Parts: sequence; structure tokens; C-alpha cells
Amino acid sequence: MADDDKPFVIDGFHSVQAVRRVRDKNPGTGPRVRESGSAPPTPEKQPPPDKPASQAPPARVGQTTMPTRHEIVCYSCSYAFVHTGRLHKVLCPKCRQFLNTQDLEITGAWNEPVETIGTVEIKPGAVFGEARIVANRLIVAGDIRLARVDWCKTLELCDGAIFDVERFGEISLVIRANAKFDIKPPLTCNNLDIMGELKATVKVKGNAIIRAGGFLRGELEGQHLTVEEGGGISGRLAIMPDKK
Amino acid sequence: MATNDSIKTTVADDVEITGTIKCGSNIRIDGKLNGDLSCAGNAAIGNSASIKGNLAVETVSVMGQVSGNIVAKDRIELKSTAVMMGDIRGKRLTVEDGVTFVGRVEVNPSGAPVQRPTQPGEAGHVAEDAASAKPTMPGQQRK
Repeated sequence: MADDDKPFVIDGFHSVQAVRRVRDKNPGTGPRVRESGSAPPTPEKQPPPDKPASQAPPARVGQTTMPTRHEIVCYSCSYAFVHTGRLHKVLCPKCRQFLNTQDLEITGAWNEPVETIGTVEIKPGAVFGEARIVANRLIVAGDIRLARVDWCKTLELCDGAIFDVERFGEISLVIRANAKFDIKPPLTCNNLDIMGELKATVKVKGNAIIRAGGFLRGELEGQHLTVEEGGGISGRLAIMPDKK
Repeated sequence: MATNDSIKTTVADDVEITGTIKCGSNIRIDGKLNGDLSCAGNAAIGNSASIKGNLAVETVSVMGQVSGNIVAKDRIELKSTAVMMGDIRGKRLTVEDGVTFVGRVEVNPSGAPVQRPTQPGEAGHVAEDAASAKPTMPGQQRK
């Protein structure tokens, strides 16, 4: 083969040809190449097992890893959809807009709107001004009294958080461990997860969970309640599961 | 909780009792009880049980229906099939998802006196020392 004919890029066809040349020069060595159109190699037949089926080793169970499913709500058009796999680039199927997937961390004063389908964390001492927050998960240890939380799937309140509960919609609320809150207005939330202490009148549409070390004072109305051993309650409960 | 071996007294599901039961050891109730139960041991209220009265026990596991108050020295377990209409007072509480419960609860696992959380803020619901928090750094976003 002349030098001019040598390809600059080794593609799949040329690499297969090269392997065949090596095999033809040294039969019995090198990698095996299956001829096109031939049947795939069949595994050799195993001799019948000597042991009865009851003593045979258990069948090998294959492992399949399913990609992570993310429930996403577009902050532009409020369309809810499910995205499978990595949150690298997410396109809203309705409004055709690429959504921000960044996780944001705010450590000081901030007055600009924040829109993401990731996590926003307001650090202790940080103050979020009069701007819009849209996030899948909002972790608050700072001041968000002036913030307008337009949409947030899960709101996690840490010790030291300052907030106005009337600015929230119906969210899933998490009271982190070591946090203590006294919420005066009646609170309605989708799910409630208490690891710290909460004094409130709460109506929960989904699940209410009081973890070990968590404590609820006040009133709780809902359909599903789980109290882990070590969790405490002082107040009035009305738990009526929806018997459909 | 009381196991089958340790239960000395059993009220079967075809038994109905009107009156007060006082029991010095573990008891299991699968029938109907119209009256109070006082038990120095563990009490198990089975799926088919129906109790209209108050329970004073060491520990109790409720799987059936109870219309009355429960006072337990140690632990109260409400299983997923439990229907509880009344007040509960105990040291430890476990509630499974699926229970029906209407009443008041006083459960304090730590045994510490109940303290009211302090630090009501400007918005009426603020955390401890948070009102004095001031921004010290400019806003910062990072991935």
C-alpha cells in the first residue's frame, strides 16, 4: 500500500482490516473477528449438573441500574414533567426553554431573582432581598423575609432561619435537627418532616413524619402520620386516612 | 412488646366483656371490652378488638379500635390498622402510617419538662438569634 493511501484517521473499518491482517499472518493468535453475516458464537454446552436442583447454587441475579428520575417544574411556564438521567441540560418540553440546573449558595446580601431547578441554600447571615426565588429545594439558614418564593418543592428550615410563612405556597416542609420554630399562623403543607422542634397549627395533605429527636407542639390535621420512636408530640391530633 | 409466650391472659375474639379488667401480667385482647383495662404488664389490642373505655398499662400495642384514653408508663405503639379515638399520655410513642387517630397526645421521650420555644420575631415566627443576623459579605453565587 502506498504511503499516500494510508488513512489519517483510523476508523472502524480500517481497524477491523488491521486485525484481520494480523490474524492471517499468525493464525490462532490475536483477537477473533466475527465474519459479517455469521451467527454469533454460541456458548459451549454445559454438562448436566451432578447435583440436584435443590443443591445447585442459586441463580445469578443480574443487576440493573435505573437512571435517576427527577420531577421538574419549569419556572418559566410552571409545566411539570419528569426528566431521567443527569441534570446537565434540561429543556422544558412545553415552552422549549433551557432550565438552569445549578445549585446556588448565597452567603451575603442578595437582591436579584434566583431561578433554578436545583438547590438554593441561604447560608447563616445571608439576607435575600425582595426578589423571586424558584428552586426545587430551598435550604434556609438566613433571612428570606422579603423574598418571594414562587415555587419550591421542599423547604428546609435550619436553625437561625428568618422567614415569613405567609409568603410560601403549599410546600413540603422540613424542620432540620436542632432547629426550633414557633409559627403563629396556621400552616398548610404537602408533607411535613420534623427533626427539630415545631410549635404550630399544621394541616398536612400528604405525610407527616416526626423523626427521632423531633417534637411537635400544637395541632396536626392530616391523613398520614408516622412517629418514629424517640419523637414527641404534645397537642391535638386528627389523623383520618382517606379510605377509598 | 408482649409475645405470645409471655401472654398469660387472652380475651378471644368471640368474647365480650362488660366491666373492668385488672390484670397483673401481660394481656391480649381480641374481643370486645366495654369498660376499663388496668394492666401492670404489656397489653396487646388485636386487630379484631374493640375497647370502649380507658386503658392504664405499662406498654400497649394497639391494632384494633379503642374509644377511650390511654395512659402508659412506658411505650405506646399504634399499628397501621389502629383506630384510636381518645387521648394518649405516655413516655414513648410509635405511630405507623395508616392509623386513624383523633385526640390529644402528650408524649415526651426525653422526659424533660415541656418548654415553649422562645424567639418570636418580627414576622411572628422566627428562629433563635436570627433577628440579629446581618449580612457581612456581598452576595455570592457559586456552582
